[in-house]
Amino acid sequence: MTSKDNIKSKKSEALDVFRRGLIRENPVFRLVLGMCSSLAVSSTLIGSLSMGIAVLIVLVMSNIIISLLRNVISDSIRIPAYITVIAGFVSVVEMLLQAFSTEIYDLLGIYLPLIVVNCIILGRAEGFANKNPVGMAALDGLGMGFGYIIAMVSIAFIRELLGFGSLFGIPIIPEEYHILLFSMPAGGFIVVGIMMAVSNKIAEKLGKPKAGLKEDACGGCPVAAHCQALRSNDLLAEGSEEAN
Amino acid sequence: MSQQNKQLVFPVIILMVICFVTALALAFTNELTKEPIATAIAEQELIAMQEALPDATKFETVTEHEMEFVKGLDETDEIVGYIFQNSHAGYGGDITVNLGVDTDGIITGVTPLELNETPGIGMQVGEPEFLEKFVGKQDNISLVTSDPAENEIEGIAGATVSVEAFIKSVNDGLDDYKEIDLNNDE
Repeated sequence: MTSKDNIKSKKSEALDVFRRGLIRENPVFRLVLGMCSSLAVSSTLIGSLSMGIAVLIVLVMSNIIISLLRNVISDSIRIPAYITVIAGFVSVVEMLLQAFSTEIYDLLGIYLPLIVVNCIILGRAEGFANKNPVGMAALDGLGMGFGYIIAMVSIAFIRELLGFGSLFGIPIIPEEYHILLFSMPAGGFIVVGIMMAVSNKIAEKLGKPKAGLKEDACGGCPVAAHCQALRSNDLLAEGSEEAN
Repeated sequence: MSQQNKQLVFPVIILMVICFVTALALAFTNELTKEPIATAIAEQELIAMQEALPDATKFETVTEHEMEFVKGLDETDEIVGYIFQNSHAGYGGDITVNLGVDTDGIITGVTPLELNETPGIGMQVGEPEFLEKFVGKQDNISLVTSDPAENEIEGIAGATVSVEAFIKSVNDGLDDYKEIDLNNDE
């Protein structure tokens, strides 16, 4: 291959790493990651957008650091190392928000510190950042982060419109027609479930596999070796000692 | 150092370094944000107190007669009222209410501080339509289902637990005022 071809293929590889997270391997609808926050904060558009941006920032930064340290962090300390780095970034974001934007801080509430155990971040650290160079890891973080924002905003669009009759706080539907269910967690489950069914249908038509827990995505989860969900998806290798 | 020892020691050192650097970053951010955070919290408290006692311009937290409460003062440092904080268990946790009364014991405003009730139902106790019902009342308040009299408040359908907890907190505040008033006359 000429060096020009080399550069071209590297560029398209990089672009693909970024584009993946947006739709094709969307963390919420395709990789089934970050479900708890997607149900909790997605009842309003402003909540989803704020959470999405916070997750994006933490995801990109932790991907970068973990990729930079990938050759020094040995297997035995990898989980505590990742969690320390991620928790550090989340705490910094938390303090900055509390100091400079009390509104968003109050809005996110307890879900802000919960970003630490958001499996998207651990999952990408384990499944991508620790095996790839910094540039790619950053792009993966950006793609997955934006994909997360896209997913959250689409869920919130439906939930806020039907549940509160507003968009971004601007009232649109009169109160008599509000369906309270959608502003509550049960409604969140229903909306996410339906959207996932739709995305599975589209995937089927395009000949792609159904949404599912992927081994590389769950690898970052500390209990992956014992996870029933992974087992039922045949994603646990026979007699695997991966957790150690 | 033997190969085995190296394998044991090296990861530990790396982990220590990671923790140390993280701690440094956190300490730095903390220094940076300490003041703005304190200011933001003080501002929020001020707004809540202002809502409870609109005529006051300054607020003083005092502990008198074995109670902690807030005195509201105007520009001439005259006492215009008091704010008492009380809580009761609601449906989704404690409901904490700031009760503002003027020097005659008439309610000037109520602000909920902690409110984790069901959205659309119990949370209605935090809405202005409910809160303004309390303004102007004086003696202990009771809950009724319709046609509220002078010292009664009409409840909210389906939110009885939240409303009762709210009213209990308000009444506690009114009792606090009576304590102060009693002691002031002595």
